[in-house]
Amino acid sequence: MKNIIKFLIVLLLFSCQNKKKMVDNQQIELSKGLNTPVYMNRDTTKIILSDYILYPEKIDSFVRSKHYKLLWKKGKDTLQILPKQDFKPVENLRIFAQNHFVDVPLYRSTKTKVVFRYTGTKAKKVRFKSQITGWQNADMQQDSLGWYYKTNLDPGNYQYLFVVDGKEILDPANPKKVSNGMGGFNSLYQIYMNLEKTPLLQTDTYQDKAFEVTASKDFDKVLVYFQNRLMDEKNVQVNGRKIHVKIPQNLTGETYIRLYAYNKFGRTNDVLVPVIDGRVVANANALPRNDFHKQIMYFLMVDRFKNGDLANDKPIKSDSVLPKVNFKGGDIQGIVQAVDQGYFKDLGINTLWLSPILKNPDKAYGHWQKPPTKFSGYHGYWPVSNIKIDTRFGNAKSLKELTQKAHQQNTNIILDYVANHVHKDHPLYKQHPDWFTSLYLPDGTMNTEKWDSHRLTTWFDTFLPTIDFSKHDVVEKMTDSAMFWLKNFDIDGFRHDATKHIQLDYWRTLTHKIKTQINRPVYQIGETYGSPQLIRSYINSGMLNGQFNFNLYDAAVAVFAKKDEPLSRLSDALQEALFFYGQHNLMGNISGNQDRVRFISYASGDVKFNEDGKQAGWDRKIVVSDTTAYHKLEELQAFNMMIPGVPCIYYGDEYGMPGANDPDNRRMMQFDGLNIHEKYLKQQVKKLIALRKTRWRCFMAVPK
Amino acid sequence: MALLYGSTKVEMKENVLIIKRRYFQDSITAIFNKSDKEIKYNGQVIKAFDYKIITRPSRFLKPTRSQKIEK
Repeated sequence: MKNIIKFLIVLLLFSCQNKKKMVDNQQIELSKGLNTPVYMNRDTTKIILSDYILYPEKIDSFVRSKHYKLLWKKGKDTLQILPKQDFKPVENLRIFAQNHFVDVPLYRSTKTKVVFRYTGTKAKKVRFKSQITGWQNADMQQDSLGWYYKTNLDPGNYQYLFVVDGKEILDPANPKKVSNGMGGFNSLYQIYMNLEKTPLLQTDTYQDKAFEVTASKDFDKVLVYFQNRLMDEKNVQVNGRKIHVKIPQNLTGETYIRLYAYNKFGRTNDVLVPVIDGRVVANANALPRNDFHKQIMYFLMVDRFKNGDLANDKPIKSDSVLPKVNFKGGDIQGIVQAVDQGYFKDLGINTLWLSPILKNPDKAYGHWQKPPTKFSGYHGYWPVSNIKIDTRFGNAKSLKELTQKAHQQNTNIILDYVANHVHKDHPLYKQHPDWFTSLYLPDGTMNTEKWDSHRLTTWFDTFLPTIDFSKHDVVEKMTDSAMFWLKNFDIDGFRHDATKHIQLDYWRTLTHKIKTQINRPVYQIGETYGSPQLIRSYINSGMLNGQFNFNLYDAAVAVFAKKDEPLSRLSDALQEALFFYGQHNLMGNISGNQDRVRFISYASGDVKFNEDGKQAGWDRKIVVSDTTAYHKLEELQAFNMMIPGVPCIYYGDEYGMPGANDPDNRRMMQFDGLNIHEKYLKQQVKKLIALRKTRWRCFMAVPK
Repeated sequence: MALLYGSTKVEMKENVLIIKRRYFQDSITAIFNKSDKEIKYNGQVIKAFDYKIITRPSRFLKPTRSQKIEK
């Protein structure tokens, strides 16, 4: 006990309330980018300080608060925050280092206790299976009333099932259910946000050096941040529901002002105002290319987009590989040609996400039974090198030409980077077998495709060894490989493959290297299938900017493709997204991707929700047999353009390319010969993009 | 700018989803109508199973203005 007290005394920090004299306006780079809010737990919250400050070893102290306690040991990268009873919906954490400070918003926990209780017929064993458990069977407890599962949950939409003596059933006591996208249903438990009682903040008016924000309801307090510092009270005047913010003087470049407010029911939405050279940005055209909020992303599969260089075509010569899964000749030079021809500029695209261009094997792997075929690495996701470009896709010269020409058109280039695994022919696997996880679990079974139960170690296939990122030396080496691309090419970011299968250490180390070694904005977006809690756990100022929002996409697909799916499902999913990721998130809102049945093929009914989407593409030719599907796809695109985040168009979705699942969703891009419906859709998508990017002053409706 | 930096308000009424974005002078409203009837929203007709996007200067979209959906 004595030791604990001694420890606490050492760790508890002294107040720095009156440290104004220590703070001056001298610019010191304690942090880079905007510090994201910390989502607190109900009890102790442990944060990694390097998520918010570049050099945690330089931290001197923290400002003490009446509303929380801090536990920290000098020189350490972790801080524990212990909220007290009177912790407000938004608090501030101030970190001092070398006579300067940065601030971090803290969000009070919004979790509530929830008990899922099984009330059905008597059973020997009941288990709980849900998004919450990563769709793994979780043990339930028993009391006199029967089986129950207790947890803490944020507001949101939670799908679940009971597994009663091995059989999955809906909750007999809950009439709410939602389609699972595979022909069945899951029970739905919803915790609503307190939106009726908390105010909505809206930017109202602006002048040269100030702006005003209005709250829709009374609020208790507002916290206004300029970059990563709370603004002086003299620059923020509150008059009833009006908040008047004076912009700091003598600013150059792009900076941001953020507002968070709260009343007794909870926090408001976040407000983000970009300021360039000290003035509020009112015109999207004034935003620089790499302002990532203005991105209209386009995901293209390099091999399937455009063949710009016939000389590098080198499909695998083997009868065991069907043409659908062989190299088709698309390459970086083809993308350069599309840039030159103004394809993306004309459509309004300003960020290109290229499928992996890393060197892939020259042989075929994998196996499909009906029809029998092996697969080539045409998709790029089987790297045999982490720093070489596959010659079938191009070379360093063509990538440099692409980035240069894209930048001339104010278009960003982001690369799809595969870090989770390599192909077994990768020299690394031969040289350092100890850098990889075992293909076998301790019980002797194979650890493949165990996406959730062995998330960090599972192999995608027997020829794709998973890198063991629990070893920091491995993290250092592999993040250096990723940095190679940023240092040698003027690319603007990464789409990170298989994000949730890689340890957090990797993301933090890579982001720290980017912040300290690369002097330009870098956008990082991850790929994680899972609950919003899991997805968000990779997003903060020390890791990724965003991830693809597959939960929102699933709801959008169901609602826009199916006649009977109520719009409330999409509304609930959107509210959940805004709650979990904020109103100024950089999540990717997709029209489709390389792993999903094309939306239009669901919408037209040519692929059924309850069939094997991959097999459908092998068994029959998928066309658009119901032309109302084009309008449904337009609705999906309109929805993505209207909501916060980064709209992301999968190549071909601008005109309605059909396709079942992989590989049928990866057909060659069609530039010419579009039918009347395809031409019309493409025109509408172009208008929707223009609407998102430009400021229309006059009353206008998107023409039908 | 409303679609890039605007605040977002989401409303759901009788299978009609309304998304309002606002950033200073710019206001944009999207109405997705999944009901099987035509609706009117601020004088605009939105057909059944259709959507419409309305942009206008914010003075026409003050929160005080009644914006009910007419069936």
